[in-house]
Amino acid sequence: MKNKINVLLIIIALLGFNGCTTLDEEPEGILSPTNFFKTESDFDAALIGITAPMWQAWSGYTFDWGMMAIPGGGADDVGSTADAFAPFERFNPDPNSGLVSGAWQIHYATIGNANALISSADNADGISEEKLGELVGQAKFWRAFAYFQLTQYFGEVPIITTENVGNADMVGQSPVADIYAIVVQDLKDAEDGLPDSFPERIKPTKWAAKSLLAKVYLTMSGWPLKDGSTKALAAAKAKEVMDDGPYSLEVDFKDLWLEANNLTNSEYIFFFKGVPGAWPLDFGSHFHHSTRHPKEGGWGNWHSEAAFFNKFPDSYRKDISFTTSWPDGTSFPADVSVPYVAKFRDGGAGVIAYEDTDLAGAPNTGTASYVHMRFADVLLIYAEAAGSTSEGVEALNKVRRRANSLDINTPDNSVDWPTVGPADFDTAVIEERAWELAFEDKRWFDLVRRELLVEVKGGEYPHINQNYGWLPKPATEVDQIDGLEQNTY
Amino acid sequence: MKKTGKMKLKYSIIVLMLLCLVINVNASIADNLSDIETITQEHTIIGTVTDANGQPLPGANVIEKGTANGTTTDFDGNYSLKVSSQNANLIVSFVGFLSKEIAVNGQSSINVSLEEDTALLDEVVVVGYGKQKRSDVTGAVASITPKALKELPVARVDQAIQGRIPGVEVQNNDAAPNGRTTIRIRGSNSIQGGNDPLIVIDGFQVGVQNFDSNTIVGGALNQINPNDVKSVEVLKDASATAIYGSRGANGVVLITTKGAKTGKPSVGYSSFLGINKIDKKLSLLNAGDYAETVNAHRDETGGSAIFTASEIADFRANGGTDWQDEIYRTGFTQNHHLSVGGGNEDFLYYLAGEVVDQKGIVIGTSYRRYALRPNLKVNVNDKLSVSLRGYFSKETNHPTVQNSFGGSPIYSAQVWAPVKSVFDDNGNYTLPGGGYGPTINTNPVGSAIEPVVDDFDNTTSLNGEITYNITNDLTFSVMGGYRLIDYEHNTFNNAKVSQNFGREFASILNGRFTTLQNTNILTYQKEIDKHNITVTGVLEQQYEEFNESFISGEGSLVNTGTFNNIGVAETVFDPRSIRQERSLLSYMGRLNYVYDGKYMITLTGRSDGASVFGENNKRAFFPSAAIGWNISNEDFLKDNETITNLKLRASWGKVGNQAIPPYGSLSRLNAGGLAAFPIDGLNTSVGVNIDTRAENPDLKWETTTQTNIGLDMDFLKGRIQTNFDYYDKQTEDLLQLAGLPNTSARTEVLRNIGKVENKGFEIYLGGTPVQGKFNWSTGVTFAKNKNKVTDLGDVTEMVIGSAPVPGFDNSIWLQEGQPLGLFRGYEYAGVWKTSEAAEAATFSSGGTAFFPGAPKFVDQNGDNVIDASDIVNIGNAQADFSIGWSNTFSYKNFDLNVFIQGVQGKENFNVARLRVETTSNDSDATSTRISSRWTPTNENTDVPSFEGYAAFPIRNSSRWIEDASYLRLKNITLGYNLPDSAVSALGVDSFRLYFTGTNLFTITDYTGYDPEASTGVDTFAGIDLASFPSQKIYTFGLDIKF
Repeated sequence: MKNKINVLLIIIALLGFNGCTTLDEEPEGILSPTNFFKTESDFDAALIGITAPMWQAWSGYTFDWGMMAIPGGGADDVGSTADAFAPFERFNPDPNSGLVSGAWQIHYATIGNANALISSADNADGISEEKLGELVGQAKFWRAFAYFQLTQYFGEVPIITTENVGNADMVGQSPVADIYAIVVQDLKDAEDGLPDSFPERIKPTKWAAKSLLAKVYLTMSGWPLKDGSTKALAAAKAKEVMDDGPYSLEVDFKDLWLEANNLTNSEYIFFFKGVPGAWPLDFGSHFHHSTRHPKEGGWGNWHSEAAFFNKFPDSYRKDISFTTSWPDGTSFPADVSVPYVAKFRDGGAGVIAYEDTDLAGAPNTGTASYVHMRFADVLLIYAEAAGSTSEGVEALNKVRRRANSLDINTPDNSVDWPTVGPADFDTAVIEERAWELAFEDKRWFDLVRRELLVEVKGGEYPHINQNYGWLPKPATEVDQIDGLEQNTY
Repeated sequence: MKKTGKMKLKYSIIVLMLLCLVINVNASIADNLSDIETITQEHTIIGTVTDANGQPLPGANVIEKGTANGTTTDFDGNYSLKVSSQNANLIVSFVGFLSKEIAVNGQSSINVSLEEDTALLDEVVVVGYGKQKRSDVTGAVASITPKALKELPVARVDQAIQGRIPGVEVQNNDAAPNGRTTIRIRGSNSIQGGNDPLIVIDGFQVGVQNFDSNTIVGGALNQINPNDVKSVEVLKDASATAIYGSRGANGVVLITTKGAKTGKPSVGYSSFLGINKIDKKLSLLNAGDYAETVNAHRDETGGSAIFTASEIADFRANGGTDWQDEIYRTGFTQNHHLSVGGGNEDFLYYLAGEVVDQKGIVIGTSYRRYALRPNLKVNVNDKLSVSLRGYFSKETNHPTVQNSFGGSPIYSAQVWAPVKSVFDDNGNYTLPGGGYGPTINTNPVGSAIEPVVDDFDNTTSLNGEITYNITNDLTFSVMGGYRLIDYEHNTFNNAKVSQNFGREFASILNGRFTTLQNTNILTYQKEIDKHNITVTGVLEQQYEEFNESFISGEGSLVNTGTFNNIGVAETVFDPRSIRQERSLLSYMGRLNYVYDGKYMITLTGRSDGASVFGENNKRAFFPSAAIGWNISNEDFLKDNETITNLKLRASWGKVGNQAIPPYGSLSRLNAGGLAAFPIDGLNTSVGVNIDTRAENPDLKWETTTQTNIGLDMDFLKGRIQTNFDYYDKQTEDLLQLAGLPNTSARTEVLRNIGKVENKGFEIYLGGTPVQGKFNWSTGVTFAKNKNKVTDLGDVTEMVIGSAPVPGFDNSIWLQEGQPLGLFRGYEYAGVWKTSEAAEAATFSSGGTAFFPGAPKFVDQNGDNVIDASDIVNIGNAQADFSIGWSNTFSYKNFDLNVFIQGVQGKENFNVARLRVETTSNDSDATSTRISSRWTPTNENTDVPSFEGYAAFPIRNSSRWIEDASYLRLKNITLGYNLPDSAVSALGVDSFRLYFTGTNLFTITDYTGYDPEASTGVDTFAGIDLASFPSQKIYTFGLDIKF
């Protein structure tokens, strides 16, 4: 009997011991989603982390190796003979190219980070409803932006969520319409959650969401979706920005490109900006340097094309957009066969760097901005979407007047759109976009959505068809993901 | 380094204290004895204890029955015991023999002959969570006796077991004071998860595995003095290891430290002093030859001469610097170990203290350890006992940089120009460069003595156990263990070596590693007729916590406070801290059943829950089964005089390796540069985003399934003993980093992919060929293991790393069907000869055609172009087999121990030779081998001409692969036991002196310092980048007991 009691005591003791050890891991020494995403400062830090993949030291939008060259290569405003970029220029892109996988990777990294923040919003502790709306709104804005870029570049791509990320090798791909549905919904949510302004100019506002939504709608109306219902929506969104937004055209087109004005000008709606810093926190931009001719110490990675220059209407804007002469006395077209890009010459460091300024020895790291959206773009989106209504025509004319250093709001027959005729007007707006937004990574997407690729580049590259509007998907992704199909041409 | 004077003093005091202690204890015991003699009327008995053949049995116990009064026999089996009355009874016992009880009956001389207890068979072995009779063991469990453990005079068990147990490979990766060893039991199972065996000391699992940044090596066997060890058991097959579940797959080493024996206080003092000399020096050019060689190179490759004829003449006349002589010295090792044990039936104790002091052969290196080991036991009553085992140590290590391309004096000494002096005219260290020699490696002497490296490690271990015999058959025990390693690793570089003043650097690393364990064991043992059944149930909890912090600073102010006041540094950088925890909650059950001493079955099962497992796989189950058949107990063999033991064993089981780093399955965030972004357009803001390593909630342990068949045979009552084991180990679900599509916003995930196989056999053959006055006992171990990667998941081969020298990128591979750790490179085929000029010209590399004097590489694909497609497997470091051969000869009071150990079929990638034997723009060859380079008149060579090497500087080739097989006279010891007369004159029980030579003789083709040298382990084994050279050690030692 006594023994039985002893055994019983032991069993009880054993059961008691059992409770001491927990097998759940509570990480203390690492940052983990389980111990993060609680306070306001956590979420603020996570917001910074969302955009981080797109603006890294020597990758992403900081310079041409990555974003600038890819769309630029195929469009007519930009050309390149550099080894890495030539395949894009010649419509012979390689799915193994680091540029292709980079374009894919930075946007999916942005989406993954945005997903993490959005899905953790419920864990927020002590954050006001309004602030949380702003935080989630920004995350959704960047997620929408990333998907929009991805589908424009690659067409049918995977939709990744916090639920399926663990099985990312089985996510397959989604129809373009499904991707746009996410983009539109995220931007609508962002519109609702975001404020009119932030102290930090880089953070997207309600107006940034509306502007981007206008562009998304306009893009949906073109190739490949050709959704007939979205053009009017584009016009309406753009009109909201024009009527109620805080933006206006800079009076002097040149001022747009001065580093000193980047954070204060009235025209930038959302953009990234290079800042000084030492590696590994080296977040300067480099496209000022990569677009300069080697004569000036630049890399000369990419430049414009003679045909584009020749079509470009003579104007103040043309003078500001191109570099055609160099300190050594040489010039385009006499000595140099292509004109160079001038917009990004001011890499900061106090260099007012236009033609005939000797930039040899200027640093390759600068503070120039990569402009995703500016007010002129919105005006032209409206003009294209609204067509040749009086308001549509006026939107185009404002851009034209500024391009010629005229008063923006005073009609001037020397540059204003003279007549009303739908087809011609539409062409004029697309061409105006080419001149106004030249070298800003916008022309390529215009050519693709408006199915102008073959018309504009087919003469030079007879092998192309409209399908070349999409890049090949990165080979590593196609290899690893079941159901992800390579684009065909 | 500058503290030597003070340290010396401190050290002297300790030696004095030890000696005083020895003398005092000695004296006081002698006093006590004489007191007893004068006060009481006692009866003294003398006699000899022998075996049945009349051979004396040293160390046998002779105890007066019913008292704590007893003694042990001396080397000749003699004893002398004072008993309380003439009617007392003596109990005489000895391990492996049947005890005998003898009535004194007034006799004053009693000689006792003990019968062997069926040879070795009833020896008790520790099997983990219990003990078993050797004859009942069904698994592959190897033991090493304390005597064999002490043959090599070392103060650490890991080195002492090298070559002693078949299937247990101990490799001395370097020969520094407190150098690193690798222990592998039956090969390497894992690629990323670690292959160190689990170390269990007195039931406490102390093996340290796989903490990301931890510098503490697994095991802690280096801390255990063989003098403190009662037994070492190695669990090899799954039947034996499965009881350790997710920690057992790499095998288990069980250490049982000495407990106490009842009786009068027994004091032991063991000490040895050793002189260490470098085993061999590399053959390097003298200054004159070096200068001429440099000039010859410049001349041959179109440069201008560096040294003038008069300079060369001066070098010839005045010598230069032999950098090996500059940095190597005669080392010194000593160990003092003092123990006292004893007690009565209620209270038993064993206390041991030791000092280990090593002065390394590289200037500036030293290691010292003070340790204390108290083992106490209280028998509260018949049913209840309480014991406490402790270990406290303080270690101070001043290591040097080795296995490294930069900062290592050992490497620098091989490549530095002998024409340079140690100091320049201003008394500063000479700098590299000057148009010859290496450009970045720093002055060897300065590199050795100027940078301060202070590693302080303290270990505290306490292990308490309560045992309660509930009934005669049922025992319950609770064990609680606590172990703390706290350490401080400091560095200070005064910038004198590089003369880069203003860049003085100091760093301090503080860490703590805490292990807690609670083990509750319920054991039921019952013998009914011919049935013997033992059931063991275990509930066990383990918890490990690791935390560490680091900071460093730079600038001239660092000189003032070094690592003790980094705050004053001009730049303070890289502050970081880490904390990790892991826990295990386990249930284990074991059934042993023996029928009639003939048929045995063992069934075990362990369920481990581990915090590091992914949340979908929190529990793992590891089963095993084994059967044994004692054929010699069958009637037909029972009375056989020749075959006295014959046992067949077979086992199968699954064992795990939980070597997942803590939080390895969890989603992580990072806060570094990859999460930064200039969100205000003015400055970079640091943010947080998801880590590129993805979470894996399915992450689990690696599983090794092992089958073992064993045969034990003893002949002639144990005069010849043999063991044979064959095993087949299949390891699956290997932890591997797998690439993830960028779509996931991650780049990699830790997954369970791939398989590795190890198959092999082990033989032990031991015996006593000559018995009698002259005695020879011998034992041979032989182990052969074949290791093979059998599955790598989606790929059939993968690059896993680089040899750590420029030019050897991606030279280490894994390939299905091949052993772990393949070296890949070009196949080197010597040098093109003049007669082969036409043929040479048909091959090219990088657009240049080969020519006489150029290196010759095998064009594997026959396209006449030597390029990356000609890279093939050129070697690997997995040995074919290894042997150990131990011999003990004894005659009268002398004994001679000879131990030979060797490894066959292992290759080393001796990448240290690259800069020693070639000249490029940042080095000049220093090896005398360069003198045999190809010239039109010296074509029989495999050293290319300067011009040839310059034209084809292909580095990763089989030119640096060497056969690292070796056969080594590891140990030769001549011992002398003082005869009885001398012993009693000294007032001691025994007194032994010995002289040992270690590593006196090595047969190898390997050209580096040591064929055992290895920078890495497992997949990176066999890469030699100038590790701490091995030494010949001449040791004098003594063992005294009283």
